[in-house]
Amino acid sequence: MPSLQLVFAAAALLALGVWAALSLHLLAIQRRRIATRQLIADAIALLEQSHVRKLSLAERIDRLRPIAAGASRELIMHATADRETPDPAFRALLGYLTDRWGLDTLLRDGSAHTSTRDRWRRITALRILYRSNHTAILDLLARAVDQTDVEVADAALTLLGSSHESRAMDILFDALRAQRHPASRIAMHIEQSPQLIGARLRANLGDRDPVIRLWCATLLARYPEQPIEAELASLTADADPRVRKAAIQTLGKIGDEIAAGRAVHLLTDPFAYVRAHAARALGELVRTDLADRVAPLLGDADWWVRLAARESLEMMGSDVWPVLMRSLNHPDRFVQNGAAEVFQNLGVLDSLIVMEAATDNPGAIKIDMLRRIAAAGGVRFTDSLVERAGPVIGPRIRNLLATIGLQHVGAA
Amino acid sequence: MLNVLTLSILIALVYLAVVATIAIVAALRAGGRRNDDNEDHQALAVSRFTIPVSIIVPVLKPSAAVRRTVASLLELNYPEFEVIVVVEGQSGIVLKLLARDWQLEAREFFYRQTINTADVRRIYRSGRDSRLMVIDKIGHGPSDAINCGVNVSRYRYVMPIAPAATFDRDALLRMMTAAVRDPANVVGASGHLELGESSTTTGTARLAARFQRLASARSMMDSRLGWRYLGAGLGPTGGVNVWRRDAIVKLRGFSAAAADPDLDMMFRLQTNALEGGGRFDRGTNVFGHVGPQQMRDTLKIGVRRQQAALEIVSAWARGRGRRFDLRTLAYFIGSEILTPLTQVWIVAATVFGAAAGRFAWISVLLALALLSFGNAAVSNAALLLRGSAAGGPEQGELQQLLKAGPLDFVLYRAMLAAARVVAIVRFVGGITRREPAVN
Repeated sequence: MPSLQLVFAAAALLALGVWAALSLHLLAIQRRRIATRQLIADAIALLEQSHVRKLSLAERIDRLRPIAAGASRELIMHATADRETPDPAFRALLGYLTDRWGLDTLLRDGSAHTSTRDRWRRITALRILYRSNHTAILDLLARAVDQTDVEVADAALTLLGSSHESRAMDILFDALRAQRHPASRIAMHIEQSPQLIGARLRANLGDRDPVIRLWCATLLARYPEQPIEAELASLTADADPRVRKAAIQTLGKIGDEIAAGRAVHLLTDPFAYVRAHAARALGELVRTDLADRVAPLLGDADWWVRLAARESLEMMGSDVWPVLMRSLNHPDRFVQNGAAEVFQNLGVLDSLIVMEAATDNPGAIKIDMLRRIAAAGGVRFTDSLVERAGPVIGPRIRNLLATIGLQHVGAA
Repeated sequence: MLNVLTLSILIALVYLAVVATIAIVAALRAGGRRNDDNEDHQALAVSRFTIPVSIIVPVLKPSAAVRRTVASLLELNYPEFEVIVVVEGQSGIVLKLLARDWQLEAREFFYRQTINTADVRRIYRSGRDSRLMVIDKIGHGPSDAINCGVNVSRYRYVMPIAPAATFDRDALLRMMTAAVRDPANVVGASGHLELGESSTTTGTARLAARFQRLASARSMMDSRLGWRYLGAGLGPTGGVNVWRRDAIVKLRGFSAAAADPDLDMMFRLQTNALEGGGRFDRGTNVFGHVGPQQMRDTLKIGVRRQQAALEIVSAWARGRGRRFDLRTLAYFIGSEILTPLTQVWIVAATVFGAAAGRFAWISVLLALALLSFGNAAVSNAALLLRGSAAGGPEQGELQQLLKAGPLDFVLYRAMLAAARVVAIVRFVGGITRREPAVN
């Protein structure tokens, strides 16, 4: 039986050997990496020379041959798929790639994968084939989207989203329906598509699948020219709250009179996120006349709705101050706080108090207004006000607040 | 006949040899070829459907780095986010710096205090960038600062980040990859913060920085070869994490009592029945970099991490967390507890045997040589994988790291091992008198 010392010695030698071998391997890889980078740079530089650019494709490929002879297929794929590669160089590299290894290999790479490395090849092949407008590309992309492999599907969705082919949009809509990947991810690519699909989205507003209805309603915000207000308005009564939310969200961006009416209706929706989006829609439509309908939501049971109500009132601008003043008397502390915060954020409070602090004889009405806003805001609110006013006016405001008994007004 | 001591050393050696072989073979199979980033962030970066994020920067002590971090955060290439800086305790200098840069104005913000925290003194909004909010609060530790940020945050995901980190403009897009791909189930995701050399480090500090860089590479190898195949995840030491806000709130925020609040939260998130699933994704992406750590800080982090690992195992053993994926737990115990302790055991048992006259002292030296080169070989495998992604070490740095590899075990990991032993002693002895926070 060998002694422990012998075991340690043999194992240490083995470990030393492995370490040394791996070190050499790493350094060799690093050297190869530098060389390949140089090779790619040289190839692109050659193809970008003005006299080479004027040559026919076959001649350019011939020029490339001596430089690229030592390059692996993956290296050429890498250079070809690079978005930074200029178009003439891309054509020449693609020609070289298919001449040397065959188009079938590239198509095979783009159609399936098993290992991680295969996945890289597949995505790269799809990018190359897409850029070259290959006839099979949409079939390959459709197959990739059908896969559960997220990385391959993501790459395919991105390419489809940038395609001008109407079939690309069919594939994206099929993917949305299949729900194999998050709908928001697919919708993102549909929205960024260069294709104009307003009519198609409109046609799908009545789809049986609520996911399709909600995304069509959401995506229609990009098409303000479509006469869709009435159709979207009808979706605000949809059984699915997500669809109602999407409809009112888009109406807030592109709607008008009908939109405001539907938004008011949805302010009492049982679902908080629908109420929040209805409030925001009224803000985006700048319906100051409806501010009194939004103000009660400052005291909503759901915090997100309260926040949306504040934002909505702020979007409507300083004309909402009479509504805010009434809210200061609301028995709900949340409503008072919210109204005070909106006053603060609109700048109404600051201009009011600075004006009053500057005068020796502040008006009674304004002082009453100040007292109510400050009382609704609480201690930190008034302290922030004094601090915001700065070292010159701040002390005067503190005095003013003190004279009306409001420097410290109780708990927030 | 083999005695128990020798047998235990041999078993430990076999275990380490198996682990090292698996890591090296897997790294070689994955290869060192440069894998381009398959992610196309362009669409995400401009889409209104990309999930918005609240970024929380807890500032626990005055630091000029906050200015740079806030500026870098507001430059991030991401469609919708807010930055909430929570300044704890003596906040004067930091507030002054930020006020100068960002025209801060005291503005009250009525928020929902869903998690209890120490009092907020003042809330500031930036006049220059409406996405920036600064909170001045009474100091109560890092967990409290993050919880305060969670209370104030508006968006579905929150990401706490230390002020010292540097990152590129696409860092948040990389960070959110898992959440964007599976928003229904991902309650958290982690990215790596690589420790590295700074141009100002010299001498032993530079050597320590190289050891830290090797540790970062090993951690990334761990993520790439191990964690990505597991059903659940526990993030790397000192990484950056993004969390789903509602899940954090449901668990009443980060625990101030836990040795490592992040690790504690990862465990709790995946062992509690959360609506809409609950998976923490340990990502392989690099979020950014931090300069070299002081050795003192490294040891503190080492102690905390070991204690947190023991807390998790202890909580699981007491039946709190039976829902946790068993394979993940086994992998976690293997990498965080068993492997480092096995190394400690080989050295300790050999020294003990030599002192007791059972082995020659040369055995101790051979054991150290074996562990040093074995560890260096695994580090090389990690460097091989690191080199296949963007930002890997270039020729000069790679050579330095390869040379530093064999010294790592004796000069750096020995100290970390000591920190782990301290953590174990504290945990077992109940010196901390702290109840494990995991439940």
